[in-house]
Amino acid sequence: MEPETKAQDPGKSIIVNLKPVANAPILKKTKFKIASDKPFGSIINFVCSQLGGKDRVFLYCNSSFSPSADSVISDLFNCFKVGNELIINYAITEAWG
Amino acid sequence: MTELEEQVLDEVWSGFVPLKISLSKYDISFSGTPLDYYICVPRCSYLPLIVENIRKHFDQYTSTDYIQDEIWFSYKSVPLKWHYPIGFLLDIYSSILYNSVNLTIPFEIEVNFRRFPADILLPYKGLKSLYTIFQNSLKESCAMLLGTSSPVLNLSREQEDKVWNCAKTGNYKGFAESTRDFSGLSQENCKLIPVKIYYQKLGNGIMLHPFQASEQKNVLDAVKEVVEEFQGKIVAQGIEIPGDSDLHWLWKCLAHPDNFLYITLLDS
Repeated sequence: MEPETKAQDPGKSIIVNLKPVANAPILKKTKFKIASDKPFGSIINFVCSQLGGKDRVFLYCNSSFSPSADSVISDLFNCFKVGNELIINYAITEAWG
Repeated sequence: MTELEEQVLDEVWSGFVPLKISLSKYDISFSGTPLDYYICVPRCSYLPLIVENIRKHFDQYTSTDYIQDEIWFSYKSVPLKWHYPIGFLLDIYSSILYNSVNLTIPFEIEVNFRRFPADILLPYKGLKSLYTIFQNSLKESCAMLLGTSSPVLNLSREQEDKVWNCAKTGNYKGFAESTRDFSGLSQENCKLIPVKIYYQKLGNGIMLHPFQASEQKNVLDAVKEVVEEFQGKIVAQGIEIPGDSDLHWLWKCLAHPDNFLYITLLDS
């Protein structure tokens, strides 16, 4: 029997709220829903494409750290959510050392 | 931190993993069998830190040009995540034999100079990639513990370098001196306990879960919160952990230098 794994529920979706840091351009779409079992890398790709295919952006969680691209979005949400959202800051130059 | 806890940490940090590294068959260009490379590395260290020695050793056996971004390691052909501590990788690929945890020592891994599996591994651009991951991981664990990463962000450049050097070499005492504001914290001072749980049946293998320090739970109850039916062995730092061990205490004594406790779940 496959063991139940509670927290990484693939059916759930999570609201991501993107906020610019410093002189980062405002995105057309700043709030979106994403499947909770997706890796953080999919948010990185989304922001890169929204910024016209920039190959490098800096994304931060909790206004301080960049999650690794293989972090699971639901894990970040469960640990760092604010209200009902996962707030991600984005910058085009490094913001929090 | 009690004297006993300090002693445990000191011993855990000075633990080594013996590695036996062979050259991937795809990179062997000359006839004859390349000599394997043996090295002992600190448990809490990382694979990219030994790349230079390995490259030099195998250079004579391969005509593959060495490109920094292309080098990677594997265990039984499965790519090894370069951003996981070496000791944790060893735990992940251990097994249960006669009802006890069997660490496969020496850890026999392969080095590959080409065909980087970009779909499985994070891109690697030299030691700066490793340092960036480590630094962010330290900030992440601090944010879980305190709700803010400020104590890490406020480290001076010298302190940052010292912390990184101590992490690489397994020097607990040096590390503790610079990280008193966010390592070894008492339960009352922690919000969430930074724990990463590896279980191969989890979607991504590894999982982060918000364990509240105030709830004071044992490791088995914590594990069952994420894998309800789990009945195997719990391993951290190569040690089989009794289920009734306090989760916060385990974090305090067995955390890696990025301040995360890495727990591996092995099926019986």
